Amino acid sequence: MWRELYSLTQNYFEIFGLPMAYLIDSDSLNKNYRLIQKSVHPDRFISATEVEKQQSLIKSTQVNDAYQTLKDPVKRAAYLIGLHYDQDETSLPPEFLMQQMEWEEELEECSDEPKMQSLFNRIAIEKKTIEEYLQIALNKKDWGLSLGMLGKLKFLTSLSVKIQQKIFLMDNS
Amino acid sequence: MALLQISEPGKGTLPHEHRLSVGIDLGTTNSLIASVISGKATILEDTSQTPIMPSIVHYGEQGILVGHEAEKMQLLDPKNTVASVKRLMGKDIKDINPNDFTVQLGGGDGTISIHTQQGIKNPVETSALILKNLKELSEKRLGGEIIGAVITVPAYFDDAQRQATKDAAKIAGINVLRLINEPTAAAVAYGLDKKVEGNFVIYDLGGGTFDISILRLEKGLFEVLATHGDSALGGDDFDHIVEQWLTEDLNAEIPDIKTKQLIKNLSRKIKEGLTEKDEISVDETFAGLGAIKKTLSREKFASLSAGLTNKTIACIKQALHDANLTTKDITGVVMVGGSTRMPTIQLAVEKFIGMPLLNNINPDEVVALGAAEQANILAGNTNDELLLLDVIPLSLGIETMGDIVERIIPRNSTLPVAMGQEFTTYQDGQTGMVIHVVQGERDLVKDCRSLGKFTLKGIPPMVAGAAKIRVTFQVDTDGLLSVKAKELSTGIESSIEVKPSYGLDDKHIQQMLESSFSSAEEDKESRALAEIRVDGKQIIAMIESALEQDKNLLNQDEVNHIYAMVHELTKALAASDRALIEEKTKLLNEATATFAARRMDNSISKALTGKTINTLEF
Repeated sequence: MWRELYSLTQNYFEIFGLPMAYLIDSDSLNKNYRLIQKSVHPDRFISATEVEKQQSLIKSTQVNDAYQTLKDPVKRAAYLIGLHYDQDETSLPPEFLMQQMEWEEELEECSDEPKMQSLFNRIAIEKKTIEEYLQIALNKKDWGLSLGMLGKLKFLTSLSVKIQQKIFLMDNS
Repeated sequence: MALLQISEPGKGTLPHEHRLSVGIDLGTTNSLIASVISGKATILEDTSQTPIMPSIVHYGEQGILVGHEAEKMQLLDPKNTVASVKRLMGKDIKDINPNDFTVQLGGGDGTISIHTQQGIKNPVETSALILKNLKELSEKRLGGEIIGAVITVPAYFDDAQRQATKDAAKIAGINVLRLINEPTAAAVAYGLDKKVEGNFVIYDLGGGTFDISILRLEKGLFEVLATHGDSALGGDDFDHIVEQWLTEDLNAEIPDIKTKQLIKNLSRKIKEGLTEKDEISVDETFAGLGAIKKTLSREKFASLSAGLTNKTIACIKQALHDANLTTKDITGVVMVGGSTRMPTIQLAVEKFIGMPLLNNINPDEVVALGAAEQANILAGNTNDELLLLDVIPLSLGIETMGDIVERIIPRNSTLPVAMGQEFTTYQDGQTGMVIHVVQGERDLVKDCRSLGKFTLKGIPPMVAGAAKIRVTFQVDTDGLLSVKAKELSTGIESSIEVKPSYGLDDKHIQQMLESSFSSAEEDKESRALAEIRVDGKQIIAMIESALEQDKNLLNQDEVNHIYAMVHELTKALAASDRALIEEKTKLLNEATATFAARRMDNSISKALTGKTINTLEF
């Protein structure tokens, strides 16, 4: 029985004692992350044997990776799908690709902050809708559909980061 | 090297046993050492009763001088006096301006050489002299050998600069408990004092480096959210502005190095004077240059240095952006470093963040005090549960086709971190691959810091694109990198572990380390044997105690195997064969790897549930 309790078989959700689902309790995640780091972090093993120092480094690194993955909705969804589904990529429908190009063009042509802010807000609404679809698909365990939604969400997320970065640079020039 | 006493992991040592530890702020202009004495972090003063030691080394005809004594030689013998050596650490000669130094510099191949009358020296051994001096001072003041030190580095130091600092400590015979970032150390000094919580900006402007860190402080946890800075911007640059203003009307060239040094000193005095006074007047005559009669007002200085000040504000903006915060989310601003005394800096930061600044701890001392607190915690002298989670300041990546950088670990990732990326071959039958590791945010290799190159050999010949090589970067809690590469596709693993090289390899460091001991060969051998015996005994004690606690995590065969290895080592310890003890220690360590991994997992489950798994079922 102990084999199941130890890391070889533990997935990221199990590390933090969380149910394997897209919606997570982020307070528990944060709280448990800190509790675990306090017990495995290399700073706690300054005077330990080399072997224990090495294990602490490995474990603390894993826990950081697990935390970063679950904290971020896109990474979390990708990880959850990966636990159940072999494929990790899917092609996006042509109409979404058309829409992508239009948004990209619009961003290129944006010359002032209000225009960029308006684009940012529209993308945010779109993102929220896709996130809801993704959540439904994940709940239904329809991994193929989930993967499609995740592809869209990834694009929308990186586009909003791009817009934010452009607004930031404009503010500081 | 001091022998480490080892205690049960996760537990403190015996209550009355205080293990001497220190915090060292190895600064560009000045260095300090502090220790926790009777529960309070205290700066250790030298015999001249000054807490601050100039980071200056004089390589004299008669011998080497460090600190105040070396400072006096700056005017008398500038060509053999090394100041601001921190600016040379982990750097290539191309990265710096040799005219900023009075000593002659050379170099190439990623290193810098310092030409003195005592021969060619390097920045690492020069820094080691400063560290050694501080160590000796502390042992005199504390009345015993120190078991280890926390040494601070600018948050924005790259891997090469960190590695160079750690190497310097090694040469100075200091056991480094941890390298920690200067702003984080300052936060520790403030946080432990005041039990504050919230998001803090740490603004650290030292003699030669500038750092910004955004930290979230919570009960028992300091989490760095983002860091930014400029490892070549500091008070020296503000001196330089004054220097330019002083000499702008002169027709003659500065005749010699001594006059240059005098003007440098005068410039610094003027800058410092403007902290108290609204204007400073100069009326001095320099041989071969003529008279300088001028007045500098605070406003004029502010406008002359506005470029530098704005650079630091831009860094705050970037760090806030990276941390996903705005100035409204900030609870406080901590000012660190002597250069933050400048009114022009204080006004600019206060105006940007929109709140009064925290500067009630002496900005020169706060970093060393925080480092001492952290050293005391790491040494196990306190039950304080404080944990620091810091980040990597600059992205790490490798060179791919077309001189493009493929980023593997993004900046501001929480440490420790490991990430990998798969690559493939470019040509049919290719059996080797050069992996070039770089650090920085730019897309082109030439704009990033090169950390080292290594060759992966033994890839089985295949058609182009068929091989799968996984390159893994691991960055530890000191912010130091190790790289592994593995060929995956055929199941044949060729794996290599490297430490990036920048001039000094392990052999070179070992040589410098050995030359710092003057003892005879025999002494060295018996010292080494004594050390390894103590290590061996301690490992046995620790493993036996771990078995007593957690034997239930192993099956009987595993327990027997570990006991057998303990027995082997015990036998070896009775004899005087160093190689045999080494071998048996290694075997015992290997035998306990699984045990250690399970104990680690067990402690996680304990942390989450408050319970431990007591029984095994197969």
